Amino acid sequence: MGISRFAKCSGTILASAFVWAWSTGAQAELGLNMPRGVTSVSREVYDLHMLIFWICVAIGVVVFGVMFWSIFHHRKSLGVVPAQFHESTFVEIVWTVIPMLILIGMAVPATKTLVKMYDARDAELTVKVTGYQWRWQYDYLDQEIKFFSVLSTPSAQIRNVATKGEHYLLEVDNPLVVPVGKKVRILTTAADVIHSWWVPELGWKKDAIPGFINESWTLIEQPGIYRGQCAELCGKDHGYMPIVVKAVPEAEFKEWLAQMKSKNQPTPQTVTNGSNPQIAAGGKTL
Amino acid sequence: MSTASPANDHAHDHDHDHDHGPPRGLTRWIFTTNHKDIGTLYLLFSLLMFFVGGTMALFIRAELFQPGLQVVNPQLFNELTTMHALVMIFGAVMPAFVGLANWLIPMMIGGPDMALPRMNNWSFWIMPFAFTLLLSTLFMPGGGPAGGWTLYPPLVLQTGQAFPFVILAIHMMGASSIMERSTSSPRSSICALPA
Ligand SMILES: [Cu+2]
Repeated sequence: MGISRFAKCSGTILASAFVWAWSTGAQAELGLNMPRGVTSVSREVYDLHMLIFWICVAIGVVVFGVMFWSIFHHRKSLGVVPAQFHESTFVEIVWTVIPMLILIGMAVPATKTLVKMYDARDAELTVKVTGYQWRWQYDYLDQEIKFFSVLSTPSAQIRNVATKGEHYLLEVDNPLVVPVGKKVRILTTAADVIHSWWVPELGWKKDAIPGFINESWTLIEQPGIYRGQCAELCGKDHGYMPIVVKAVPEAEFKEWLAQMKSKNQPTPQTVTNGSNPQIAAGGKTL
Repeated sequence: MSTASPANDHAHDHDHDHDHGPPRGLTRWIFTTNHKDIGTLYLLFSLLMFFVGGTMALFIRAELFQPGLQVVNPQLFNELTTMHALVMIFGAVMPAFVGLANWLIPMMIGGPDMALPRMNNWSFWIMPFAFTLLLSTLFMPGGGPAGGWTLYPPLVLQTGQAFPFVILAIHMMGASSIMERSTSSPRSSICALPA
């Protein structure tokens, strides 16, 4: 009696917790799950994540279900006597074949997505991203545009002297601007130590390693501002080198390009003077 | 047992598990080749390091309790994170396993002791020195290692004057580990079995 009531109660609590966690509102608010993102790759990554998550849930339910059922219904107090067999070739084949099929079932779609992620052919624009301690540099290779992107959160907010803004530690002076609907090739490298360029809404992150160039690509479908961070410990200001990607319609991007070129970009700024006053004056802080 | 001295010989053995009655005082622990004593030393050391590493974790969590800088500066935060991992992995988890192995392996295989008992003693007594050295780097000019416990170059090369001391401390832990492995691997343990 007691046990069945306890089971019912905990079952109800579990179920309602599950429904609550499942509601998208709670997910968005608490950041429980990864974002679906704004590219076809990011959605594939999200779907893969959910597929594999539910496979894990199913395996967990089956394994723990059998375990708890056995513990409950085959306990000593019920007078159950343990089986006395040793080897079972049949069981061994079953528990080898089933996991193998599950693994293959996960590897096939995962590999398809990976192949797609690595296929950076036919990109219409190439941006080289260089990690520095502690800022990012964006180099539009065919456009002769090159600038640093530096944290713009005022130090007073970090020191708790001023109220924190909406995008605390996720805002920069010069964002990476890309056109929507165009395939953009992104080459990552670093100038000092290893960094990692990570924008969750794009569905991937890529290590930026000195002496190496890693290739990735993205095709953003929605205009908007997408924020990310350095994802490889790179020294004391590792938390202070955010990434802001601004995806704009083609026409606006052309305008931005022309504007940048007309500024007649001087030689790259020195590291001590990362922010470009000309660009900063042109637009508000993002 | 009350007259036991380091000079005890086998004839005065009162405990069928080992050859000697334990000497008294500090020397019992410093010179011990008794696998249970060494196991106890390892377990106590592991507990101490668990509290040291845990204290660092408390600082890390206190800093992360709310956004902005409250308790420690970013450099010290990274030092605490790095040191917390090194202390917990090499100072708490591994010695805990070794302590249990020392206590249990000889009893489980029916051997009188671990293989190479003196090396077993050495492998423990390197540890306090290794960790004193490692923890002292927190107070050296430039602070302790702050590049994460994996000590990835090139970031780890930016460690201050503490860098060679960190490397030496890790090497001492490695030497201790190898010695311990030699005494407790199944093959060596079988060597300790009576013929
Ligand atoms: Cu970084």
